[in-house]
This record gives sequence, C-alpha cells and structure tokens, in this order.
Amino acid sequence: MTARRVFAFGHSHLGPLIAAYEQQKRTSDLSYELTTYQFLRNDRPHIVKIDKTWQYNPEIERELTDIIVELRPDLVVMMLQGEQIILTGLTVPEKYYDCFFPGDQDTAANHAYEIIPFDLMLKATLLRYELIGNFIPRIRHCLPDASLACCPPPPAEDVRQILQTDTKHAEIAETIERFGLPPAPWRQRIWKLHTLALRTLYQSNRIRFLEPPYASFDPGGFLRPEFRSDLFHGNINYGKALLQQISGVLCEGLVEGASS
Amino acid sequence: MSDHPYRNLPAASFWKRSVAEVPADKVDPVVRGKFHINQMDRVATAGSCFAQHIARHLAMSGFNYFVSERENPVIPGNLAAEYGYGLFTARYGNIYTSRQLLQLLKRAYGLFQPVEDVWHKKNGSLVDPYRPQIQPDGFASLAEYLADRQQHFAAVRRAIEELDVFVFTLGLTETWASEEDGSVYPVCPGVAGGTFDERRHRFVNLTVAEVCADLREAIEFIRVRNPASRFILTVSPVPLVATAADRSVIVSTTYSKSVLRVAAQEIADKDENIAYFPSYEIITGQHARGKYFAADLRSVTEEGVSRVMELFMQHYAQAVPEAPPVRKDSQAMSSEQEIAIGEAIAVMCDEEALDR
Repeated sequence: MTARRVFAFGHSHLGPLIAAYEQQKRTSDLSYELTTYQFLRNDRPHIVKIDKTWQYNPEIERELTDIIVELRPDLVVMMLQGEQIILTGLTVPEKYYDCFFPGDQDTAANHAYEIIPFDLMLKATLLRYELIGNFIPRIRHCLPDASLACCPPPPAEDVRQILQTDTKHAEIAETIERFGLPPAPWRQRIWKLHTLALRTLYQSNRIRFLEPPYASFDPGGFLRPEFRSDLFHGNINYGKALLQQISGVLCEGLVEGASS
Repeated sequence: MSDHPYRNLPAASFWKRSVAEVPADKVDPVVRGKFHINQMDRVATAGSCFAQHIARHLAMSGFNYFVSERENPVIPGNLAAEYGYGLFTARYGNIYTSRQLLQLLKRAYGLFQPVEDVWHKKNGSLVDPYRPQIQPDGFASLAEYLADRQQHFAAVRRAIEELDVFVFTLGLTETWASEEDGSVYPVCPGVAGGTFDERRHRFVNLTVAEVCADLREAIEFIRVRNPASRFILTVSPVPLVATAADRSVIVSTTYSKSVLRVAAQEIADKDENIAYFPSYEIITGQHARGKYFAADLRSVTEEGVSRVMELFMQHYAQAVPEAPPVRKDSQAMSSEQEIAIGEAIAVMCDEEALDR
C-alpha cells in the first residue's frame, strides 16, 4: 500500500512540524509522507505590494499551485498566520477593549474595558487577515477537499520570563519594557478572538480549522512551557502533537469540509 | 413722500433685492449669525438624516466637531461608520423629533426607562428600539446590548456636559409612541425591528405647542448641566418618506415642516443663545428652483449641503480661515451621478426603512 501524501505549507510555524516529522521518520514508521513548502526565503520577499494591496508573492502562489497539482496530496495542511505580536495580544491598545464571545458566560468579559459588540469586533479582526483571506480563494481550486488549516499555538503566559532568554525577539522585549505588558487574561482573549477570525475565514472557504493540540494548553488556556520553543512558536513536542492530529484526521477519512 | 418702516430696511428684507435679482448661488437667507463659534468650541450634533450632512461638513471644515462616542481605535473607520460611530456626536442614530431628544436626555441620566426596552429578532439577536439600525445585525446577547447602551449613555452625558454648541436638526413631527409610558420610537415598531401592536403603539403627530415644550425642556435640561451651552436649531429640508396620517405625504410634509419651523423660531426668538439656522430655506427656497434635490426629489445633493455649510461657515465661524469644500463641478453632474451621491450620503436614515 502506498503511503498517504500530506502536503504542508506556511511560515515559521512549519518548523516544529518538519523537525518532528524528521525525527519520527528516523525512529518509527509513519502512515504518511510529509512534503512541505516554506513561504519564507532569504532571497525574495514573501509579501509584495501589488496595486496598493499587500499580497503573497505571486511566485509563491505559482510554485505552490504547481506542487499541489503535481503531488496530488491526500491532505493539505496550511500553517499561515497573521502578525504574531498582535495575535498574541502583546501590543498595548490605545484603549483596552473586550467583547462577549458567543457561548461565554457574561462575566467572562472584562467590564472595566470598553465592550465592543462581538460581530463588529470579529469583522474588524477579519480585516487584519485580508492577506490570507485574499490568497485562499486564489488557490482554492487546486486544494483537495481534505484541506485543513492549523491554528497558531496558544499565547505564552510568562512573557517576561521567556524574553529574558529569547534573543530573537529583543525588539518586542524593548517594546514591552517601554509600553508595558497587557494583562494575561486580555492576551488570552485576544488570541481567542483572532483564532475565531481565522476559523471563520477558513471555514468560509470550506477548509477545516484545527485547534492547537489539546495537550499543549495549560489550565489557563496558555501554551505549556514544555511545548514551546520561543515567545510565539511551538517546539518539537508541539510538532509531534501536530503530527498526531494530522494522523487522526487521515484516519477519520479526511473529508470534513468546514467542520472541525 | 412720508417715511415708513420699510424705507430703511436692509436688502435682505426685500424679495426683489435679495432673491429675484440675486444669482441663485448667492442668495443668503442667513443674513447674520446670532453668535459666533470659534475653533475651540466643541460643536455637537444630533437630529434627522440631514444632521449627518451637517456633522460630516463640520468635521471637515475646521470646526471642533465633538464626538464623545468614538469607535475604539482597533475598529477601522469605514466599518465604524456602518455601526453608527461618528455620524453624530454620540452613537444615537437619528433623532427625528423633539420628543425623542428629550427622551434620550432623560434616559441617559436614568430619569426615564421605557417599558419596551428591547426587541428580539427571529434569529435571536436583539435590537435597541431607540437606535434600531445602529447595530446592523443586532446585538448578540442581552449582556452585550446592556453594556453597549451603558457606554452610549455615558457618552451622551459627556456630550451634554462638555459641548459648547449643540446643533439640533428637527426632522419630523410624526412619531409612534408607547401606549404604556409614552416613550417614542425613531421608526414605527415592526419596520426596523420589534412588532407593531395597535393596542400598544399609537400614532402621534406633534403640534407646535408640543414641539416648543419639548425643546424648552430639553434645552433647560442641558443648561442645568452645562450653563454655557449655546444652541442652533435647524429644520431638515428632507420631505417625509411616508406619512401615517390619512392624507398625501406632500400635505403631511408641509404640516410637519411648518410646525417645526414655527417652533424653532419661537424658541430661538426668545433667547440670545439659541439661533435658528435656515437650512430649510436654503434648500427649498424658490431661488433654488429645486436644484438642491436629487432625482428622487427628496435627497439633498452634495451641492445643496455644501451651500448650507458655506453659509454656516460664513455667518457662524469665527476666524476660521478655510471655507468648506464646495463642489464647483456639481452642476455638470448627470442625474445618475446625483442619485449615486444622494445614495452615498443618505446613510443611516432609520426613516428610509418605512418604504422598503
């Protein structure tokens, strides 16, 4: 029996997945072959401005669709994300805000902040993902029915502690030093809002949205230290958990459409 | 030849000299402002659809247009406008009648709470009966609705207490009221939310005396909290979309505008800090020959709004160097363009829902 083909593409969050796959391939049998495509390269920008609009580099779009057409994967995994610093609530807003998420207890929102109606908040957040929102429909024709998008990892709670050793994000450390660190519960809710927007965006394109691995959450909804590599990214453990999720999806029979 | 009271009157007092013999775009029914507004004065607005044009031009014309309920900076401007932010000083939507204004003031200070406080849509979302189109898809939950309203009332209080000049555009005399407590709705229940029930809702057509009483009470209410406040009353030149009275909408429009016009004059004549600004006359006067109306004979064109604001600036602005933008090319526009502009600027008009 031929191995199933999984094709994953995206930005920096691909790293843990590739690392975990390479390790597992050496030590055990995997039920699928993983091929990946990285948007980030040193020799060209992955985002360019065309007609006053930021878009993914058309070369990427071309290469990506060529690979998918040639490879004919059983499953496509997308790992695109927005601006990490915004997604994880690390930018101090001019005025703190919150909203009532559908299904939440009314007390979950912080009433000391400005309450913005949820639908307005979601629309405003979706506008931040126009880059992805414009890109997906352009490649949708070559994606198999079995396509899913991975949610970016949950935010870290102990940001200050991480930044003491995370030299990659020195600028963020400086910014936080200058403007302060938004409260953890607020950061958690901003991540929730952004992931809801991403879910909405993908599902409107009939792409299944995969939550972060359950085991990676701590009781407060933050990323467990044993699953992270730096301020924003998961580590090889996180990658392994993703591989398990992907295996699960393959076992389910793949086609789930917009459900999750 | 004997002397008489008309001999030494200024040109503005004579039709021939100020209207018939003057180019249409030079006719000036304002003559002089009753007071001046400086660039530091916070100018607040409320009123009918036409008041939105005034608000928009004030914001562009160098006045200190006062917005006490601004969208959170995380919300992009275009999206915020769809949700009623920035159209007026606070996010109250259209305030068509004097009674609605008075009611809002009382509600903002917790002095009145209508019995009919929320409308439920079939999809489960909630509508504010007193701002029915402020939230295009309704509020998702009661908690969200109440939180938003609480913020809104705080913004209204802030507006009242901090404004320097309040420009209120009177739009209608016809309204619908609750039989239970007399609260009035900007549009008839059932049109943009809620359910019309003839046992609970009654048609009211305000009289001059009622509009005057409402305005006096509203102005006094504001002055108690902000003694230095000054007021400019205008009457919207926009005809009624529909009338609930058993007669032609043309006849009802004349009644409604006449009542509002008389009431505004009565109130303004007795107080040096209350002015009447003749938007109505600028747009509907014979000199205009209807050119300030779009093809639907109802919407005011951008050229008309610009003329109103040009005169507003000329007579009320103190030492504001820049004149408001006037569309010099507007006469060359096609009817289609006028309709498009009319539609583009006729935003957030609750009343429009009556004829959908």
